[in-house]
Amino acid sequence: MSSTVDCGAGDLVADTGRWLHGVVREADLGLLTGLPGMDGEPVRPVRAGGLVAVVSSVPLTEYGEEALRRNLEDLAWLERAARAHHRVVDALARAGAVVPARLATVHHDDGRVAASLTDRRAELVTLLDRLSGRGEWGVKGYVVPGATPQAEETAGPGGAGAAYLRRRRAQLTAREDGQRAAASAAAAVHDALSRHAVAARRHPPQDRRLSGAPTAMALNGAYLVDTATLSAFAGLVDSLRARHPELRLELTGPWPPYSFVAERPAEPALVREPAC
Amino acid sequence: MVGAWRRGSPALVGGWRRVSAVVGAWRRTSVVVGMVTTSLAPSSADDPLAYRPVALVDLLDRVLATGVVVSGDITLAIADVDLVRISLRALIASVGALAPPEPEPAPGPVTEGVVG
Repeated sequence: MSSTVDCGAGDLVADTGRWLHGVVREADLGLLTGLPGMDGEPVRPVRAGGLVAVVSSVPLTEYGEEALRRNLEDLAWLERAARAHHRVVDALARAGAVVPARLATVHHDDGRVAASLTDRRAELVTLLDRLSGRGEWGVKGYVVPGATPQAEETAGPGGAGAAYLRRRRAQLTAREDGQRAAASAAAAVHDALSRHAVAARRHPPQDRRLSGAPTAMALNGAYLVDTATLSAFAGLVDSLRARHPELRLELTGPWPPYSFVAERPAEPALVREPAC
Repeated sequence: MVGAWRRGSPALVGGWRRVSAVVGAWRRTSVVVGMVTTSLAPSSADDPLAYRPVALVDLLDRVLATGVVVSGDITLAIADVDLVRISLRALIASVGALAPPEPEPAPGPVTEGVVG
């Protein structure tokens, strides 16, 4: 098929790229018809090695490397792209196992996409087998202020200055205690959920300025759960909620298995800048 | 040719102007993000199987940070030089470094491996 778009001026010719949504098995294709991809264009399959890559054709003027660098810094564009990508991956996940691609995985043509399927076939097949009949669930834990007992203010020698310092020290201690309690509750909740899950990982806590959450996040967990045991997992979240009042737990999902397709977990330490 | 863009690359975080533009964008939209989160909160605990719209911040957690066929830091088609791979992780994290700090509730992020 043609991958060339004439931009009208004659000398400006923009190639189209292939935005990869995810990889599925040959059998999972019924729903592709009419499924809108990036910019509302229909998605289509690229087949190789008994696998199917689901792609959107995208103009490289908007999705090429330089354009992507620019566009990904535009939050409105980023949201549009993330939601369009997710809509496709989510539809695929509801129909069967899918290996989702990270946002902005773009190839120049179908041949490149097919070659990557062939090259990684064994690994992709293993992943698809592992993901079958399972879904990703998110459990976030927000700190509940005042859930840990506060130290009583003690009287002591000295004037107003000394009293202020004691009070300030007590506040800091209480906050540290609260943070420690939240952190240890988060670890306990994560351990309990991990035991029930096929796989588990913790994402870095979301920044409140991005999430808009009223209190800080202590747990941002992702869990790969057998669909057959899902209600037990949800029940476990409820009982952990009761056992750990110092955390407000929020369950989200089902997610496509975004968090469980890496051979090894990403390294959030690389990208967490220290607050200054 | 387009190369893989590694996370944490100076090019990604470089440039105050670019970064502060993004900070501004995040701030302008944080209200919207917050609304989504708020509207999600009441139902998310009750019925895990009900369909709900997805909060953008949760979505970005996944599609930017994790959802790839990666081999280490390499994506599905890294063998092809023409792969375009962008992660905004560093840029998003840098928002936290530029804006006034908030108290950290927990020790640094912990990533744990596969359980089973």
